[in-house]
Amino acid sequence: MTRLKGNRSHSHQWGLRVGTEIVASTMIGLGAGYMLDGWLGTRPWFLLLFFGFGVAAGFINLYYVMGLDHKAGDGTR
Amino acid sequence: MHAMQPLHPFKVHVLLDLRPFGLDVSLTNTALALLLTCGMTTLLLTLLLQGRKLIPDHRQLLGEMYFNFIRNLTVNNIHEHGERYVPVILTLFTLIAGSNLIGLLPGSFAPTTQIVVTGTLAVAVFLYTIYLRVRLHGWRCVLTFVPHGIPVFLMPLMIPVEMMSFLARPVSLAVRLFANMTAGHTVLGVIAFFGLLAPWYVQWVPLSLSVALLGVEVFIAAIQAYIFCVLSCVYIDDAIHPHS
Repeated sequence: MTRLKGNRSHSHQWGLRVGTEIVASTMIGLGAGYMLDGWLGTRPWFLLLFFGFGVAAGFINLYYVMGLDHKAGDGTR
Repeated sequence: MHAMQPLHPFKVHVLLDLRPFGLDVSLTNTALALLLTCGMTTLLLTLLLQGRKLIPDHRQLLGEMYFNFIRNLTVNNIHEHGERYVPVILTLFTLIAGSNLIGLLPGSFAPTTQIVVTGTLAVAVFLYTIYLRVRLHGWRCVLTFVPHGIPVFLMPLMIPVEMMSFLARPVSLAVRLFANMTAGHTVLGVIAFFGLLAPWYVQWVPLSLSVALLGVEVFIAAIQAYIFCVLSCVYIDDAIHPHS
């Protein structure tokens, strides 16, 4: 996952991503789970599992966006 | 009756039915608007940058300012090798901004109000970043999905989550542009319709509001093209410098 190289003047660009990040990740998770369930006949287990993965991916993206990731050496955690 | 349906302007219809060898390549209003956008932006940029001089006149200055704006956007977001990607981002920005703006002309159609158009652009950028990853890093590009500093027992959880977050990129790019443009045009249509329905002595309120909103829409058209290009640059930078 990219993040800008510690340049505060670019931090607004991350703000631009926040709006659709969780929605898109959840949609992808639900789609993947739905397709896996249809393929394996396990409805609704993969849908629920991948829904969780999708929401988690959305929050992880937000976490990165907010600059809370623990980059080695910069001391932010 | 059509004027009462706020989503009517977004309906795709066939203008010229073309089916050579059974292949449907019909000309729709979306395709026509895209072709017009390409033609008009190419003509405009050619006119602006024709007959370049050492001391630029106003026309050339405008063209150079536009180019420098895109160049700065690219170089600020793609570190080290930004210059190489200026043509891609210039083309992308010009196409998206042109498509957004052409829809503001009366009786026209904005191609970016169709998810298929924004989706195609987003998937093209996404596939380009995957190509860059594979070309620059070979098989090691799959290591992008393995987050650093995570305990091994959490890997089965974190790798699918990282993959979801990677796959969500084209979706978020496409949905953001499509939703903003569709919402803007719908609000414009609804406010203008209120103006037509209102009694004559209050008609000036919604109609003047729709004029103000048109100004906001011009701004939003440029902002949305800018956001799309900034994020494309970020994804390209991520492909060049994974884990940076």
